[in-house]
Amino acid sequence: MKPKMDKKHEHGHDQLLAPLVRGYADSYIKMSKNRAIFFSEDVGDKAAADLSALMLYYDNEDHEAPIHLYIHSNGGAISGLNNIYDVMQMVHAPVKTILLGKCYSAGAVMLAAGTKGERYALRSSNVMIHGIQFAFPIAGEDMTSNKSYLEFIEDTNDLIMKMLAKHTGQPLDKLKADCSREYWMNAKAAKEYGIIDHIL
Amino acid sequence: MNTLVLEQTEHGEVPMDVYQKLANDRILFIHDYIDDDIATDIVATLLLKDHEDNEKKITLFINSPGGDIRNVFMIYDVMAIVNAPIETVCIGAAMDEAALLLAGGRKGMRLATKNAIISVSQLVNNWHMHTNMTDAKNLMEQFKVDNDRLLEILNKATGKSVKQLREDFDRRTFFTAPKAMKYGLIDKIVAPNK
Repeated sequence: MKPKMDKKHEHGHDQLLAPLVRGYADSYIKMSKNRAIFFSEDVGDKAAADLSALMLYYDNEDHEAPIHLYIHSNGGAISGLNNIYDVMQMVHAPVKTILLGKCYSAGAVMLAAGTKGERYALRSSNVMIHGIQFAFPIAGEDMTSNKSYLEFIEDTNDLIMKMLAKHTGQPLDKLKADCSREYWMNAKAAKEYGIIDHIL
Repeated sequence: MNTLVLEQTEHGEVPMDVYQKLANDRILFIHDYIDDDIATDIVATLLLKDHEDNEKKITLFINSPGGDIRNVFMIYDVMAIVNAPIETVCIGAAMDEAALLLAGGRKGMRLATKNAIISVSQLVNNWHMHTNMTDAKNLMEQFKVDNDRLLEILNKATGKSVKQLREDFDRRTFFTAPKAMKYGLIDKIVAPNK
């Protein structure tokens, strides 16, 4: 499907931009006027940096109008999640999170971390939460290293669990028990669990 | 490399693997990372040689970077079961888990060549798996059990207390042959003939 080009792209200096904004990118750039961000990738360091930059930019433009964060993600790395989470909590503008299709693992934490009362989900979307997944033991390292590594991971896991507990309102113990394995939810269950507030 | 040598038999000259020939004379080699195959071969040969004659000594030459702890415990246990005295000789190097096998030889029959090195460390795994917090904790419990067993073996071999061993081997420690003899990991250094 090839969207129609804007009339103004056909002449003047805008023509230079035309090849860049053709196709899907066109609609994303137009959405950006409404302070909407589409996050449909794994939570990696690059994605986290891009997302932080966008959120900080929109926040700087207007402290009060909401930022719309559309999420469709498999999750990803802890470093990326911590980065995104901290920026989400830092900006003054309310962050509306909208779950499109799937929010797994780190993606689910991002979803829950939206401004309370402003977290939405499409009707047939899915959510999965779980504790940190990691490689263990560190190959070639001895007991002392592995012990301290495991302690570090446990602390990090506790931080993530506390984040989820804070935003869902679930007791920490229940969350830890649920997250010891993969915990799957549809939109309705996610609403009951406190990860979202409204189903669209 | 060709390891076949000619063996005189009643049927004439037959090619035979040199390791096989040595094994016939109760000399076994561990000359690689101790994987499942090597460990099983060693265990089978030890049991066979013990069955053939349970009083004549079996010699185990070791030049190995170590191996999976399960395999090493298996060999160690079989070495403890067989009645035939087992002489261990470190040629080249006996690293980490391989040092346990060296120390597992019969007291007074644990040798090293003059330039051999021996290293001892805590439990080290050369594999990892994708896991979660709960399973990793269970795994860690098993590692602690294995590590305690490893120290127990060293304690039996050297006579040093477990507490002392834990301190000494918090990091991987290297021994030259004379140092290893002083520490009690081996009993004798093989003297050169000339």
